[in-house]
Amino acid sequence: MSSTETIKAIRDVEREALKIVEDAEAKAQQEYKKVDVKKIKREVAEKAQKKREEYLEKISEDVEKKVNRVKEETDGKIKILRQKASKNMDRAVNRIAEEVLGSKP
Amino acid sequence: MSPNITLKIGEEILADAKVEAQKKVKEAKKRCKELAEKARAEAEKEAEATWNKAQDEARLLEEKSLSEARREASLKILEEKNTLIENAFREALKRLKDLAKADIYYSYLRQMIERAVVQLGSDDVKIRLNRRDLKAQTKILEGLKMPKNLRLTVDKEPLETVGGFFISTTDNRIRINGTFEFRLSYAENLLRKEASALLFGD
Repeated sequence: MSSTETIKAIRDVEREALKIVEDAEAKAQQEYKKVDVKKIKREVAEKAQKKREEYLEKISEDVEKKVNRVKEETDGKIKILRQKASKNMDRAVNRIAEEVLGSKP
Repeated sequence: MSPNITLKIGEEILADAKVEAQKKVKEAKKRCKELAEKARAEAEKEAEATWNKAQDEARLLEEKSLSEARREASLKILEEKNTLIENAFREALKRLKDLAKADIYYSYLRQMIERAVVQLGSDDVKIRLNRRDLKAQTKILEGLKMPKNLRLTVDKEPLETVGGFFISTTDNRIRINGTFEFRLSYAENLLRKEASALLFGD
């Protein structure tokens, strides 16, 4: 093989090697492009937001139930108060009349 | 240069190029993975903060709503108690109105007048009665147990009241309002707690 042929052969190989490296570089760049930081953050944020909304909705329902329970308990207490007042009204009225008259009616 | 050597050099160059290429791709993949993980970690940190905030909001919502509900409940119970106590006083006034139409009323009225005269501490007193009692004044006065030197004048002007009287010294310096309405209003302040205990006790 003449020296010219040798140099040509080596240059051909070098070109091929450069091509391999350039292809790899291009592939690497494609890999970088695949990483969409904004998309990743958006996906995580959306998931968190959904979880937050579901949680708050559930809490709102729970709180509504608790508030309703307080209202029901209050209605129950008022019912008992009315029953007692109805039962004891005569005693209270007598005592008031006694105070007004200065002695038992 | 022999063809074998040239071939060997070429193979080495290509081998080196392949190694470098693999290294570049591998590094790129590694770096990409790191970037994605970093982005995810940052996003998850923010998501955690959002979650913690949501929990705080939920706690506040619960505390505020329950506290408001309990406050409203207490107020409602208090209002109901007040209404029932007021009913008792209204009922007492009705009873007193009925009593004022009965004969026994004059017995109470006389006792009340006798006590008021003692409280006035004067020998010269003036009394006002309602229209019905004015008509029955003879019946009322003849049963009164009074100090012998007492001079009691009955005002002819009728008093607007369900029952009871208004008595004063003749010079009007000392006055006692003995009407049922006034005494009931006084009793309302005095007996509110007791009436509540009577009404809502077992």
